[in-house]
Amino acid sequence: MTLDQLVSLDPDALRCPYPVYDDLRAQGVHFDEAVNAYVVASHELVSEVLRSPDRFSSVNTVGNPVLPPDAPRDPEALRPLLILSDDPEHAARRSVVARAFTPRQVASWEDQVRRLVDERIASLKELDDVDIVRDVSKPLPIRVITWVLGIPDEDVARFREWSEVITSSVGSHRKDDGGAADAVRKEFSAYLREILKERARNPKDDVLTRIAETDLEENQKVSFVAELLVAGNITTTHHISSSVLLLATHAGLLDRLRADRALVTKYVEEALRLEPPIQGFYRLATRDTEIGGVPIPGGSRVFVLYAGANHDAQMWGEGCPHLELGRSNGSQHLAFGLGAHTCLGAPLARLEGRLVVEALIEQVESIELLVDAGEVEYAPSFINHGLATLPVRLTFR
Amino acid sequence: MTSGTVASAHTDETRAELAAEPELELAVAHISLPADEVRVIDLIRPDGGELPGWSPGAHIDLQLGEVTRQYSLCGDPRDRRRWRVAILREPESRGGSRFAHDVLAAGDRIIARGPRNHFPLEPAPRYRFIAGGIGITPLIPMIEAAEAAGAEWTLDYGGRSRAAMAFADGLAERFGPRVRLHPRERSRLSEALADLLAAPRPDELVYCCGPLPLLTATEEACASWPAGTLHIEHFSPRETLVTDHDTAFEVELAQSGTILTVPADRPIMAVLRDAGIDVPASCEEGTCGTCETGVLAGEIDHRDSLLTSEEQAVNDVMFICVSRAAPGCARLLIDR
Repeated sequence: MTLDQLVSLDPDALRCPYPVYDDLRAQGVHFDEAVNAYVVASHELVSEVLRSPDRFSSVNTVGNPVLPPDAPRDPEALRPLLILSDDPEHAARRSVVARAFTPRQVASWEDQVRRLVDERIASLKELDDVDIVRDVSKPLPIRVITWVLGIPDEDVARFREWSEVITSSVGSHRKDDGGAADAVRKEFSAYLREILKERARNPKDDVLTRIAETDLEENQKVSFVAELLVAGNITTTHHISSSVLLLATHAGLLDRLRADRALVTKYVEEALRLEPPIQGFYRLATRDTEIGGVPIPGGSRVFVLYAGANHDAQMWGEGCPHLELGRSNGSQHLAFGLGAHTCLGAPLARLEGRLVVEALIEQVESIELLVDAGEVEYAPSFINHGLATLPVRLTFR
Repeated sequence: MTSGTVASAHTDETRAELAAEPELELAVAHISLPADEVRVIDLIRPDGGELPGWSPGAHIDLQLGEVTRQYSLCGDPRDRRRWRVAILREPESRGGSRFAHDVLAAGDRIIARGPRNHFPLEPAPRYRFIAGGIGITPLIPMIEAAEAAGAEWTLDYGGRSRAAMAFADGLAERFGPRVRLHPRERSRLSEALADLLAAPRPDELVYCCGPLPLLTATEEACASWPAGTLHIEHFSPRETLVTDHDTAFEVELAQSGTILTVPADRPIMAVLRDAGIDVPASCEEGTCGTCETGVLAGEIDHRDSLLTSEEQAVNDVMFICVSRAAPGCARLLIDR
């Protein structure tokens, strides 16, 4: 199987892309037409690229075409604040918003987020059939982020609808939605501007207030909130789904975690390592350079394969395709990236991941997969790796 | 910087010596980029006059923004109107190398002190030069001097990658087989050292400059050589504030009682990982917070970009990818 098949969204390749990555890594750094980029797939070299932002710009991180600086720009468009920017702007912006998401800050949310998670898992008892993706992975992250932001209860449903349109319209080529996505963006921006002003007048203990109190420009504040939604929803959704799939397919794992709660954080890291929600992203070489001794002409696209790095036997040993809770370097995976653009939401994602596992340990005796493990259906993206559906039977305790 | 095996802390004597040195305001005449992450900067007097003389191995202080750092002079000592230094971009920079790479431009003024030489080239008929990374800089004028004096010499030069090794192409072209390059993806300099230094020859001196692991490996390989043959200069990758130097300290891991030594030029995080302790980390620059670690005893030197000064003053949490023990604190008790 080749990268080409993966990019063409072959279902078997999407389900298990790792043989492709092993192949790509064995070839050393090389240009692959399937992604029109130099592919980097080893832990050492992916790390090097991510640590070298002046050689490898983030301006094309999500594979987007790079507009020339004088291209006309729609002032209403929501351009992300962080993910596509380079230093010095990136460092300045990030330092402003990073304080809202430090591990300490996120730890202070644990009790309330645990309540949201426990409720969601408990609610599955009432369902005739459970699809983890539809019933847990999709709704939970948006519920958590709206709470974290401080969106009033009465607006949560509306906010969730807007989020879904905005996140699914990113990278979409559909121009024929009758301007629906644009209309949603306008409503979303207007709502946020209003609520940010309100929080500036009457501060609350929430992230919208923290954002309101920064000295970013108003459109930057709105862009940042949109970026949180786009960057943090589908990724967390995919992590939760992958994590439950691993629990369902590894006999005795749930019991083992139940018997030794200290293993849960190690398990979450292994799940992130084995099934990173973002399989890879792009960089742009800013000048003639090299990676691993291979010359890279300036202006080249570079595809950094986090998932390839996560399965690199140099780092994880020959047992790297397997889930092992005893690894001494288990958290050195690249699911959250590395260096200046390290995922800002990582502490929150780890918290949600852990609390989902803890809720299952508490409430559920066993998880039974209702489709064959070799036939589970993945969502059609080779970048965002996650399940489309995950039908299970849960036996509640 | 240290030479020989003398400890790195300044004595009162050398502080006085430094305080007596004149400050020079120089102008940046020219900047070039000979390799990834390396900027070569030529400095002149604004009035075009002569600069103080120097000999191979000398270095100067340069004030880069808010930090002062030492740089070896790597140009030609016979050119009295120009000083040349090479500055490596450091990922853990607190401003110095970023200033040099992103802010400094031709025509700018910069404050310098010196030169001084703790690493002089002693006369000898034979030399082995060993360089790691930006440690090549003091050896360049030494190689020229050895060549001019008709001495026999070899250079073994290791680096992260060929593209990152400043001056490698020029040296290889001019001096052919006397220059052996060890870019890390092809061969490791530290592994070649044992062979290289296996047989001490009479009247041969070894000059080595680079990061601490290279110096340690070279010292070990030269253990059986006569005293005085090995000369080393240490390039610490850490930024230093004026008169401050990073020092080694200990960390005690509260959960196991293990005590580890943190050398002056390694972050706590790296030391823990080397000891097989799984430390989550990501940005490695004190901005993402992943490596946040509780501190139960000891004074912290905070170098992150996350804690407010009030939070820092509480002294109960630190980011072990960049922060260290405060000067005078011998041991940190951390919650791991």
